[in-house]
Amino acid sequence: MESNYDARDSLSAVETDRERLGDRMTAETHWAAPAQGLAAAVLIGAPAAGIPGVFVVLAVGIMLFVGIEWAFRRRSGLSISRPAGPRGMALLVLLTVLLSGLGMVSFALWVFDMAAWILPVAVVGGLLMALGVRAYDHTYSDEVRRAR
Amino acid sequence: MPAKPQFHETIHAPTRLRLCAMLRPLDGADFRVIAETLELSEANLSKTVQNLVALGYLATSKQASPQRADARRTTSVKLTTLGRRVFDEHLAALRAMAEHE
Repeated sequence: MESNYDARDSLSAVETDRERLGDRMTAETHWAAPAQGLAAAVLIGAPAAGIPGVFVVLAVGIMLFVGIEWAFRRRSGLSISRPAGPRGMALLVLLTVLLSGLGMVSFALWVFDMAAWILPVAVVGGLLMALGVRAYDHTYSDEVRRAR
Repeated sequence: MPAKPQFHETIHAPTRLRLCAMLRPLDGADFRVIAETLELSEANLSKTVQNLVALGYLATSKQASPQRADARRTTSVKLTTLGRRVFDEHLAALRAMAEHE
């Protein structure tokens, strides 16, 4: 039968490894967060291109997101598709609502012939998304470290 | 739902436990990255991975790597559903043991 000492040793080793894993998860944030902010700004600003340009810009934005995800996996060697805990999930929902909401605002501005306002909305959306992705990565790392 | 504490001898060896603990929050990880993170030799890790694959706790897949100039492919490793359940039960058992001084 295992002793309590062995159990504590095993748990300590797991915690040390998760610290390292947490560090590895935030190692790509310095480029991934601004890149995802840029992709979000492209998606939010797409209506400014009018029809049919909007479809091309939307496709470019989606390709940017896919390319960033591919580059993250290649550089980090880690595959992640879900939040590590409740705070990460809350942030993910918030970022999704933010992106969708600003996308709708941008579309409404185009419909009401106020296209000049789309660019500032896209810039603000891109900045908020970059900050949000940075916060998400750090939350993910923290929740992996504290995982029960 | 919290896992039912159950000690699993099959997963308790340090390298096996650490490997499963690393993979638990991930969809998968490259073999090279696992070896670096856990500071294990490739030979040791390879043997451990093979044993856990045989038990049905891990699954591996190979894909072409743009980082390699030769024809070799990188190996990706992930926990199976069974592996996740066994790891969660074992971790809960270790925590229960550590709390009972």
